Amino acid sequence: MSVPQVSESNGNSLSRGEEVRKSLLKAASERILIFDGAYGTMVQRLKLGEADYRGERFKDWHIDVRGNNDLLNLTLPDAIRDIHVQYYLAGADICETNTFSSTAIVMADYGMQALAYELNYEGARIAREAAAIAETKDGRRRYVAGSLGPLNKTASMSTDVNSPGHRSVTFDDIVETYAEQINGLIDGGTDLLLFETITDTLNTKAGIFAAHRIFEERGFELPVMISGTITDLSGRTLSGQTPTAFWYSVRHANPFTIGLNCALGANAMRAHIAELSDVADTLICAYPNAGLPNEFGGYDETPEMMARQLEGFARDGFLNIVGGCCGSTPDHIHAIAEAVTKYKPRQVPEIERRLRLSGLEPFTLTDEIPFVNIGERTNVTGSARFRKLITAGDYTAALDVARDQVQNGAQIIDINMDEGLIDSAAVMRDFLNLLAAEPDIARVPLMIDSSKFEVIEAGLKCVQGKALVNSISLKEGEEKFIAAATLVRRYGAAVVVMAFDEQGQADSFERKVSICTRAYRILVDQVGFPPEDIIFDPNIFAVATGIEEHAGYGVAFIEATKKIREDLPYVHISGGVSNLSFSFRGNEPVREAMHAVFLYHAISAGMDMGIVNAGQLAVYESIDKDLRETCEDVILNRRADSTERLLDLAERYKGQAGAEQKAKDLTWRERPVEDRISHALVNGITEYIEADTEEARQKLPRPLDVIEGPLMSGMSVVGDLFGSGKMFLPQVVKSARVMKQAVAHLLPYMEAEKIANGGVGGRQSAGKVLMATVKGDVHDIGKNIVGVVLSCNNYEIIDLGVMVPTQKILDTAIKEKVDIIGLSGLITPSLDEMVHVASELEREGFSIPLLIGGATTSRVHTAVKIAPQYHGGPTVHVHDASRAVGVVSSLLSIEQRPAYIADVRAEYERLAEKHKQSEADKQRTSLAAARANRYKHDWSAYQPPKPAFTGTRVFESYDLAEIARYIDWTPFFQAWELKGRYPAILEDKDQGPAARQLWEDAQKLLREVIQKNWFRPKAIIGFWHANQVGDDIRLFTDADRKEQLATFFTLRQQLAKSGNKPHMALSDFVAPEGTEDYIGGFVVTAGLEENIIAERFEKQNDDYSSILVKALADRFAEAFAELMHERVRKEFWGYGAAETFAPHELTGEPYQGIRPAPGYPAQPDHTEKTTLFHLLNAKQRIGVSLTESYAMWPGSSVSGLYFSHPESFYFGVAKVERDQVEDYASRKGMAIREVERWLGPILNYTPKAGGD
Amino acid sequence: MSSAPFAALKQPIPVRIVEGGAALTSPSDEVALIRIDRSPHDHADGHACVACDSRGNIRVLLFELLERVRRGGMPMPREVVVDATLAADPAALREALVPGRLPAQGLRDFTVARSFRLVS
Repeated sequence: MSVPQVSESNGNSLSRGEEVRKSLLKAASERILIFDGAYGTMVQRLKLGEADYRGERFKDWHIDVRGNNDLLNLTLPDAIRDIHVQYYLAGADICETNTFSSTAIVMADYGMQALAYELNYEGARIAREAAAIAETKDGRRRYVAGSLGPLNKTASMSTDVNSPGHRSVTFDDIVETYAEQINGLIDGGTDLLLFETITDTLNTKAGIFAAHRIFEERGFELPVMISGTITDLSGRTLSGQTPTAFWYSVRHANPFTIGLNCALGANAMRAHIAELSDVADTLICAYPNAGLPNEFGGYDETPEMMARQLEGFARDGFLNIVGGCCGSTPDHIHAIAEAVTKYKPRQVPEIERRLRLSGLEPFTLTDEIPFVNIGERTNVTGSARFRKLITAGDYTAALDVARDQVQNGAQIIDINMDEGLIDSAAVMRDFLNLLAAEPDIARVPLMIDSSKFEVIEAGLKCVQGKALVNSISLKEGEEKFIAAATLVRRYGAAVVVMAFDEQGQADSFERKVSICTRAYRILVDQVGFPPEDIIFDPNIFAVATGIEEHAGYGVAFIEATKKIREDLPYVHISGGVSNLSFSFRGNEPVREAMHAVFLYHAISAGMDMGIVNAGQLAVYESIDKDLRETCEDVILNRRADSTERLLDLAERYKGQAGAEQKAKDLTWRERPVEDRISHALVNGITEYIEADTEEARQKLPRPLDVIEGPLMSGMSVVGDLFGSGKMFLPQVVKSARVMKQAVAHLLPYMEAEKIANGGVGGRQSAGKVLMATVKGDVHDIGKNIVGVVLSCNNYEIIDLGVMVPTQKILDTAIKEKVDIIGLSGLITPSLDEMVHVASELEREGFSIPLLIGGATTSRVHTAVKIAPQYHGGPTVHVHDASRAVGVVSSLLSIEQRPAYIADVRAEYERLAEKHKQSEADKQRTSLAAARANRYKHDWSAYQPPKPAFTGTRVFESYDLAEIARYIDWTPFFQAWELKGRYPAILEDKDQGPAARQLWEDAQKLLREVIQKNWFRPKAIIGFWHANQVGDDIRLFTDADRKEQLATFFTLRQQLAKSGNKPHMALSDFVAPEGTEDYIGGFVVTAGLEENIIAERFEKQNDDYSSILVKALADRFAEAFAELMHERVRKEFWGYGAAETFAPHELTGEPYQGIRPAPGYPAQPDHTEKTTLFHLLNAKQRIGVSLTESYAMWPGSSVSGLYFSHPESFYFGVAKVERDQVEDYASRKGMAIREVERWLGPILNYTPKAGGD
Repeated sequence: MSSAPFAALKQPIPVRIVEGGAALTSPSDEVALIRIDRSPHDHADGHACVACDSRGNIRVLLFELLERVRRGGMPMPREVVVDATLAADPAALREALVPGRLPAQGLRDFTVARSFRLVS
């Protein structure tokens, strides 16, 4: 077999790999590149038999080979080449070779390990030929990526749970097997290397190691693509890493792309790709499956379905390269290519140079971390206890030591096994192998510590994360240093460099600085080591030894630290702190004091990492004053007699137990009162605020100074954090609670002072805002949150509550001289109320800004309906609480106001114009046509289920704990403007901590609600004989169905439909006369109590709990509706008796039947609630009534109809035309104008104007 | 329960594998029900695809149950019942839950082995 004449350079000065990289990068800057699809699916279509796989060459092979698709490279190369060509012509720029399993390790299953090289060689050659064929056809260049599959054995984990330390394959085995594969692929002519479907990061690190070794041997480098796999709900790789931790582990390969493939469909993969897109400074490549495998192992997503999802990725800017994995075909790739072609490729972000390590989880040394604690107890040279455990072979207890360090706050653990009597390399390997199966330890990055490089190497071969090597140095000269550094880099680790050269260890300031500088230049300029991965250890030596030369050791370290950080950009400084206090072994209190004092000074000088006992770090401020000063004298070498004085003092502490570790949480209590107040504000801590506020009031001249000083500065920190997305609403509301309590304490003093001053000198706020929920509407959670957020920014809020009549709003605005009015509304009738308020403001000659917000409002509606009513002042729609501050401050700022208002006005005019235009262009369907296209069902064959009773039934009370099981938490988080689904939101990268804290608070309050029966939920349900009559549902008094009881009127979809989709109305789900069908209805409520409880919290200045309890009441009402619906299906109507869904599964609506609520999309007419409430006599029986806008009071209530039809589903009526409105009005006996009012948002035409 | 994924339970939860029969009526909070209705997925090349086979893999389903409990989506069950009526190979399910019989793949399988105990 001959090696093809692939030239290593193309005649210019670019080598083979460089040319490919350059060309691909250019293409990738212009468009999203396309990858190929699955080969397995395509091979299956060929319906090959055993004989086909064997071909002539293997016809007598001793093992069956059917299914070994890679073998087809040798026995049916034309078929494989043809598939490549199909993919290239479908739009693929890059195809991967058919070599996924072509390693000796995997081929051993077929006894074909000896064929590995050839399979790869041929695989690359075939793909190359296909590329040439495609290029000839259309002139566009095509590329070949050599596929390197994950192997069926893992280096990072044992395959036997009973023997976690065992490995069925080693790092070195994997290096060799991948090396063989890579050589075959390179010789066969591949352009790129692709590590894909990665299930074990350590396997890939071995592959990268092999690749770099080969690149070095051959003198050129091919671009490397790396693609991992997320296989389950945890969002982790199979070896346990998060996507970011995985990226940190492999980025030393300088990959051409990073991404994910296989296991998941596009939508399921989205969040993980988004995570990688944020953190990776290289191209992103995604090739998901065509959905999840069905029960036959096939994949259900069509090319269109897959392309639609991936189009979303492209639109959101996640993609540079996209393709398909299992289940995809050339048709899929074609559809995907078409779908993404119009989108710009993702911009590769600039990622800050930071030390980024990983265990199972990532760790970044950001500016917010002043100091990294590296746990020192798993070190046989430093801990007698650990040494004994290791030499005795008690690895279980040894692992516990590591676990304790992590639990005590060690962010990295240093592991050292340098002991003369043991085989250090083997012990290091065994310990690390066992550690890998302990997720609570393995989640942090490791520091591999040894004075012998072979032990370090043994350790690095066991670690899938990005580790730290401790250490290398110039002790044995430059050549050895460079070799060691190169190897460390090839294993992908960061490195600690000791200040140690051929002359010995650096003890003076000058030597420390010069050695580190020399090492830096070699590493950065010659080895290409990234400077942010370099940690210098300028040596901490023992002081107070009695030897004069040693007295300056502390100062030398501290000053060298400062200089190195100044001169050498991006590096870090570490040190083994325990060395310092060597003279005081056995005297723990003194040692701890020395360490604390040393760290205090060294950290200010720039030391940012240290090897410390993470369980025993004393706090600088809480060390006994004498001891602290004496230690400082020693460490800073301030006095000639410092050592004697410390020795004397030390006597006093001998024999005492180790200094208590003060709860870190309370150190802030030691700070001056202004700092304490700020801290309490930022962290939402209320325990001490009254005492601290009183202390500040006594300290500062005036009570107002407390507000305008520490309180406002704390709140502006909160405002900044919230504005920059580092803090979230729940935390902000908690901070506001602290603020409110502090201000409440000061109020009487401020009032007294005002009176004494003759009524002047009040608090200066940034503006006065009037907030109200309009007449007829009861919802206020969003309004309350906006009020809190604005008050955090020093706006004074006057909140009139809910159901506020227009006149009251106007009167209060005048009386209080407010600067802005904000209106809130949740239900559609409130939109009309807001229009009314706007026209009243105009009539009364107001000129202040009007803000519009709430779930039912929209920019378009504000622009088209509300703003035109009010000319005297601007009307602005506010989307959510986060936007509120920006809008208010722009409106009240003298400089920004004119331009801002002009912008908004122009925007709204544009929206209104567009709206008018689209009105004219509409294609309208007549009511008759819509009715003709109703949803048809074969009623003759339908036997409707019969409810257990007709009439109504009341549930006076219900077990709160039982209802709580049905709570759907996702909307709860959405109410607090945390965006995401539950439970994923708890793990969200940015919002996770805020979400978890909110969750905890909510759970605590929930328990209290349940234990103390704070809510008194009630429900009433009913069933009636019913039949469909046209577009309506007629109810009868009894089984004879002669006498009419009531009618539910429904609306039919009227917008144009694609395909054969019917025009739906709810009446379609009930059988027409002739069949005995039924309908049900319900009203449930969490009870009136929520308002009382919320008020109680408000009186205590606790907005946070008040908002929380209302949000919980809402969730209870919905959960109660869910629960009752289940009982209806299983007991009272009974058609779902065989259901076995768990409560949390119900949110996906997997059951039969629906419970649409009037006012919601399937029947947008709120006035239909009257009929329902009348039938159920809800006001009398359970105390729920309707406001004049048909909102339910109490607010935490849910009502609806029950439909049992197996084909019933939720739909939206969307828009209706005039002919239907006229018909509807006549059926209902209402005036057309009135119907138009209640159906306002869904009218597909502009009703004739005519005054309100 | 620990807030970190992969943390094993201190007390393993018992698992029963049943085929058909009365054990499958409405589960309570205390008994979690898992249904297997897919075969483990093969790639066309005959190798079981570790990446793709999650829906038919009992270990993955148990692991995901733990994840849901950890995130507060459901209460900790006292017992798990596996409905293997539609499973292609119920015997293989049992093998998968006896520690050491079938190879472990990844940290996930370790967590499952430590957190669940096959009782029948």
